[in-house]
Amino acid sequence: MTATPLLTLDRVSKRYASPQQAVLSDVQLSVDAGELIAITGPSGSGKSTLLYIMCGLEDASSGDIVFDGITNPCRRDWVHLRARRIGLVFQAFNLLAQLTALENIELPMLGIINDSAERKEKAEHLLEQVGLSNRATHLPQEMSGGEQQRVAIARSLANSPDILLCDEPTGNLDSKSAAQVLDLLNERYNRQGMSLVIVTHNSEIASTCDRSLRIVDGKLS
Amino acid sequence: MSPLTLPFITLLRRPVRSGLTVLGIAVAVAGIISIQGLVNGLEKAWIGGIENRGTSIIGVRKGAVELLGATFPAEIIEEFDSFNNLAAVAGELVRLVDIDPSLGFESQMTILYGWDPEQYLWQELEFSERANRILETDVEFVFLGPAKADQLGLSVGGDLVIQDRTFPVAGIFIPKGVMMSNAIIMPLSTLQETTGLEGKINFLNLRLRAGIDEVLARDLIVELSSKFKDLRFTETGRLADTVSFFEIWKALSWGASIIVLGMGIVITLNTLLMSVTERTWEIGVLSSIGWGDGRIFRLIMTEGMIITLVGGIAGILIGMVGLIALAGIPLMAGFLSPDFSVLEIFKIILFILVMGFISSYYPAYRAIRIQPAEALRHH
Repeated sequence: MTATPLLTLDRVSKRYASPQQAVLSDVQLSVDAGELIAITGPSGSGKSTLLYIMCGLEDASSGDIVFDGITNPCRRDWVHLRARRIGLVFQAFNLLAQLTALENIELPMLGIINDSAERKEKAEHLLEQVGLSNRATHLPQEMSGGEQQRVAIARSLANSPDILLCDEPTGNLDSKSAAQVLDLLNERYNRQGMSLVIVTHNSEIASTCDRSLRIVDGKLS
Repeated sequence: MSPLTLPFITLLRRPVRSGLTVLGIAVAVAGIISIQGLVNGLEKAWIGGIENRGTSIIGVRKGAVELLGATFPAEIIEEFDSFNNLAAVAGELVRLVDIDPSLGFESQMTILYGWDPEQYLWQELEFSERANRILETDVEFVFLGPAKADQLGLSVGGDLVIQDRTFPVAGIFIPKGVMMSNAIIMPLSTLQETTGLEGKINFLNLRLRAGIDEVLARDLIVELSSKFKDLRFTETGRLADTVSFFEIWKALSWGASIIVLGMGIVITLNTLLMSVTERTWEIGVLSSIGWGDGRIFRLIMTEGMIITLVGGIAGILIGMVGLIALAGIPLMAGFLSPDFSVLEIFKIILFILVMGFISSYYPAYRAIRIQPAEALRHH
């Protein structure tokens, strides 16, 4: 039986006008529900741009994107999808410096879960799942890189997404922290049955995935 | 944390930036409060003083903006006998003079009133201290208001030099209105002679008979205006609206307030714009976790409105305290009583809200125009 693709990119290209530059060329990609995919490639090959296009943070210059039956979602559709169905994890963690770990995790739930007690309870539960209950009131700058990334993963899972897109999630971490973060991602992937796309330099990570794709000069193979 | 507390958390955890913005807005609003309070205080002090002495109608030279310089003959008073609705008439010469600093006083601008001992203004004076005996023929003396006596360190029996002439202090009068507290009163003929304005006055005080209502008072003003073509008569309560001096003063104060308001808008706009620029990456993060344009717009607007309101309320308090302090310094004593009407405060709060809205709107609009991917690359 063929799984229904959750996300499809059909001949997607991205060009910048100034300087004239093609970042992605005719990318074909299909992500099935529950699939674990690695995308590798050298720096500047277009990995991050591809990831941003997959979640609507960046527009494609041409080609079609279909997310669970929605063809070429508009800006509003993408906002809705990122709020409820797509989780993002960044290399630089991207936690808001003025908010505590718990508040950072609550942030995506504002407007989705109206009851503040429920929001807080869920955030506490997520923080517990990533093993950082004792860091709830700490600001990002008071935590290590590994801890920050675990908070960022908890935040990305706040609204139980169907797909998690991770942009070099271990890129800024030492080997011990990187291993902890990967274990956490694998554990969440196995438990929640969501799709997981990891952009990485690390061939070791790629080898553990269902599929490993390589991008070079904007071409995916 | 809730959508309403998030802006507060963001502002409170950036105390230096938020504090400086609040301070900038507070200074601008305090400026507006002070300017408006000064104008209202001066108006209240002047008109209150006239009303308290029982004057219902004031007559001045028609067409004059600078009322103190526009004199007319004092003998005109005799022509008011034919108006039955008038209980009393008193002429008045008012001059602003510098008290002679030769006695060791600092030079001080003082209001000098010349009143006729035969008329009601003089006759109704009350004293807290008075010389036992003033000779009938004595015209070379002054009465001091209590604030003026304090400033000069003079009491009854002391001597005051005005324009090279020495006047004994014959009494300390009880002021009817704050402005009179800082005033000096002397016989009309003496002031006329001292200032070279023999036979001249610049104000007519008219007191209505008991029971004369507003309609009759207005009829009387029409009647008076037709008889005395060179004079303009105004009900005391309407003086501020009809005297050009006050109209100009009010227009200037509002003009200055609008400039200060503009400064407040620029300060807030600049701060919020800088904040949005510095937080471009943060706005990208909010987009990446599913915050829509409306939510981001509301966040920036709410932050702007909170900071403007806090700054505005702080400014109102600073302005009020500053004005009260200003009224207390010797130079200003007796010239104004700080006046903060509810209406004026309401207008200023409205100003603040407009300022907050204008100065938050553009940065909020800029924030949602940023492309999320571009914003995320700002880190």
